[in-house]
Amino acid sequence: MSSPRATYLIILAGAALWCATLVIAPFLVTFPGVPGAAGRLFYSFFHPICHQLSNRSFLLFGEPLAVCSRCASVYFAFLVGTLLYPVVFDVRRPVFPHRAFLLAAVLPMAIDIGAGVFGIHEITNTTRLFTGVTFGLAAPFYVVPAAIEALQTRNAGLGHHPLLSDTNREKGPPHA
Amino acid sequence: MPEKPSKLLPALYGGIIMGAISGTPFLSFLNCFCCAGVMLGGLMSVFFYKNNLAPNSPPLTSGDSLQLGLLAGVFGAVIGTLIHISVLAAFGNVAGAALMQILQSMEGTIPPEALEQIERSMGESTGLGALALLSTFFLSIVIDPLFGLLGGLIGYSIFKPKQQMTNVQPPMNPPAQT
Repeated sequence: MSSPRATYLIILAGAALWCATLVIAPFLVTFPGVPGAAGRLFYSFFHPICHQLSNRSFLLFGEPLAVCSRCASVYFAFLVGTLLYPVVFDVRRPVFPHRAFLLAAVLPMAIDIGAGVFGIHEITNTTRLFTGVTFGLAAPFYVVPAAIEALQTRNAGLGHHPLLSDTNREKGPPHA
Repeated sequence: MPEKPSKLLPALYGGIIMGAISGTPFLSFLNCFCCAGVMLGGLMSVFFYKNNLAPNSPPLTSGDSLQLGLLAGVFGAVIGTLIHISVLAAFGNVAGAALMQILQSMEGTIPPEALEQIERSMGESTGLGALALLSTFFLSIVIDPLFGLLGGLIGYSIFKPKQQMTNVQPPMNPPAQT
């Protein structure tokens, strides 16, 4: 499990699992026969990273998701962005888009929050959705290649290790 | 070629930033934006490490950034919990009280049962009981390294050396002169 494809699949599985837990929380709370504590456990897990205000969250089965609409937009868009990554770039050759794109992706969220705090405009679930999606879609295009490159560098390092390099393997151990 | 500098100190600095944001009342609201404070700590640890690199030392790699983000997350979880305990012991839950005041002033926009639920959950998570503090620490020790790692990887994309281009084809050999 050390190929670029495996690294990509691990990130994809992690993102999918993370998004699934957001949906499981309201499902468990409303599902008949399941103790409410099970759902509340999921809400508690996300409590330190999100305010979880129900009027600022998307509802599922009449209950809010485990995080607010902005966070949920970022996480689901991250999953979609990760799914799209192999369509746009070759997984085996990490390519980093220019950092200006990342800053451009963060900017709408920063403007939305800043303008909302100063009372210039009203932050709604729609603005949270669009600004969250912008950042969430861009983030995997920086995270995935960096993770793949980290693994490739590690493997290359192992390949050049004096005891593991091909040359030494052919020769056998030094004192054999 | 000189060896790479230690990652411990830059990660600790990143962890201090992370912990200070997570543990300080009001400043911790920054984490409500998808753990922005935690990711900032991971990103800053990469920045500090890059600044420590000598001109002739090996360049920053994504592996370094990954390790820095993870390590900063571990430091951040410990430091954040310590600050959180100190602030709770000294001043009580000031941020929670202020937030509840704001929510109560928004009369009509938040249903009373939701308000009650928020109050209850804040009471559960901000107490000074051993169980509340342990759960805060265990959640932080899972979440902070995870988001710190993401911050580190984003930091690598921002701070990586310019000459370190991937996917660049080497120039073609000039035709042999006869």
